[in-house]
Parts: sequence; C-alpha cells; structure tokens
Amino acid sequence: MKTKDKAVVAFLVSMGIFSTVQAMQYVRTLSVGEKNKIAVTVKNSSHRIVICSGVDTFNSGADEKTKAG
Amino acid sequence: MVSELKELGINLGYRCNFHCAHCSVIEDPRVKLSASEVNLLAQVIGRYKFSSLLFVGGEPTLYIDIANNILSKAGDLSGTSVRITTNGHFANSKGNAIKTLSSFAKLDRVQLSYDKFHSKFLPFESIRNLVYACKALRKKFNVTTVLETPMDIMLLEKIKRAGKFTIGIQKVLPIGRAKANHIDHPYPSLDQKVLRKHCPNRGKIMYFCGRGFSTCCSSLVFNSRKKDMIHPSVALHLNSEFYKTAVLSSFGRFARRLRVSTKDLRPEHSTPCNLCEFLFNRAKAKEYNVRS
Repeated sequence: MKTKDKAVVAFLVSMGIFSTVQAMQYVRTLSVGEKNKIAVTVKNSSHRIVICSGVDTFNSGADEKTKAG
Repeated sequence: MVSELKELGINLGYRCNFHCAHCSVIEDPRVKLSASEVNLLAQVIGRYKFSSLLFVGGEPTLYIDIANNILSKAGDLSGTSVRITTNGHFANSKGNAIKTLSSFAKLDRVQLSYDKFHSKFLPFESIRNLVYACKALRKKFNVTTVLETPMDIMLLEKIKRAGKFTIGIQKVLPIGRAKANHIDHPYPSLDQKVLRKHCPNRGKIMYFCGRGFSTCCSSLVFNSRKKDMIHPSVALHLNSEFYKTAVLSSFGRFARRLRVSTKDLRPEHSTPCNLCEFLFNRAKAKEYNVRS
C-alpha cells in the first residue's frame, strides 16, 4: 500500500467512518483521482472534527472521538 | 434528583420547511407538543436537573413559542445548557439570524445541520450569517454534516470557508425518508467491534411529541414503531426491559440475552443503530424472550 493510500486510510479511520480493515478495503475501490481528492482534504483539515453515532449525539462523550487538525 | 441522564432532547413538532431526501423524520407535520405535554416536560426538567436540553423537530425555530413555554415553566435553568438543532432557514440575513436566535428565552448553542442534502435548501451565505449571529450573541456554534459516502467528506472544504467552528460528522442512517429513498452509507465488510459498543445515546433521553420518552433517537422509534421502547414517563422508560437490555448492555451482550445469533450480521450492521434495529427486530420475531 502506497503512502498516500495509508494516509487516506488513517484519515477515514480517524474520522470514525470506517474501521482499519474497512478503510483499506474501501480505498482499494477508489480511483487515483478520488484518493487525491481525499488526500487534499486530509492536508487542509484544520477544523475540530467530532465523530457522532446515531442521529444526534454531538454532546455524547461515550462514543465520540475528536480530531484536532 | 441525581440522574444518570445528562440530556433531555425534546421533539417540539414534526413540521419542517425543508424536504431533505435523507431526513429520518417523516411524521405527520401537524403534530406538535400539546399543553399537557408542555407541562409534563417542564416537570421532568425540574425533577431530573439535566445538564443539557436539546430542542429538535422538524425545525425547532418553527416552534419557538412552545420551547419558551417549556423553558419558562421549568424553573431554575442556570445549570442547564440549552441548544437547538436547526436547518438555519431563518439566517437569510445577519439581522434575521440575530432576531430569531434572540427569540429563545434561553439558548446556549446552535447546531446547524448542513450537508449535501441540506445544501439544496440552504444558501451557503446563511451559514456565514449564523456564525456572525452566534458570535454577536455569544452563543456556541457547530455544524453537523451527514455523509452518504466517504467522498462526501469533500464538503468539509466548503463548510470551513464559513468560519472557525467544530464540525460533527455522521454517517447517514436508513431511517424515515432516507430508507424510503434507499439512501444508506456503504460498508465494505462487517466490523465485529460493533458488538462491544453500547447505544450511542446512553445517558440521554428523547421526548417525541404525541408519543413519549425513549433513549432511542432514531432507528427503533422511526422505523420499528413498536411500543416497547417508548414510554409515557421517564421512570417507566428507565425501568423498562428495553432500557435494561438494549441501552445498558453492549450489543454483543444484548444479542446473547435475546438469544439472537450474530452469524447473520451484514456489513451495514457495523453501525450501532443499524445493529440495534436488527437485533431488536429479530428478538421481536421471537416475542422478545429475554434470558434471565
């Protein structure tokens, strides 16, 4: 797996979108252009991101992780 | 009363002036809180001393009079943070944004729902107006954005041009209109770790107008519509079999207690709400037999 792919995997996992295995499987399905688009988002990410489960769990502490970019 | 519940979410009514394809709520828009429900909620707030109140809808700013009625009857709210989840429709100018937010008797945080679905109804400039209004009124502000696919994360690039604030990310769930429109987030495989997780809404309770209290804020309430998970009082809910099994247990333990096999789990059950609905529906098929 290339360095850029690893960065995209790490980003998707840190966002809470996928587990590591799922992220690796997903990244394999992406085109080079799609990976580049996500990589740009990774590079430019500067907002505090909160991961939410359920419909409205913004303030919940139990199932949230934060990413300070 | 010292409570294990930190937040009460109140569904003021189901009317909304947007029509987003992914919305979890497809209830009768004529339904809103009655006078007796307002009194009940004011009593509950006074009794349980929640640290946080959340007003949702529909669109909560269409029901500001009802929200203020609850807030005025609830007594001392000095230790309670009040927030709304809004579509931001009123922020077509800075002045209108300030005027609407100022109409709430108490409001500490504004949570804007904005994603590719909401963007069809809300001009981007309205986000800037909301950020300005919240700053002027000293209210906290954040955006929650729903992803249909991971590629939707690109929208963050656009959102952050509106200002500096926290962004909450959620994956779309097949609930309500999203389910009807076959909108769901893809999962390449099943993540078994979900069986070690708990209900993400644990520690919170919702009141759904015309229906009652439930910890579940989504799948079971809007999709399954069974009576077992929604109750007329907080006490009845906390003492219910549903709360003790579905909410307090991890999903793996929940499955074992209900004697539901996890062998049939599919990739989409990697997310807690989808898994919970699957387990509960399988259990219901077996008449909800809980292993004691």
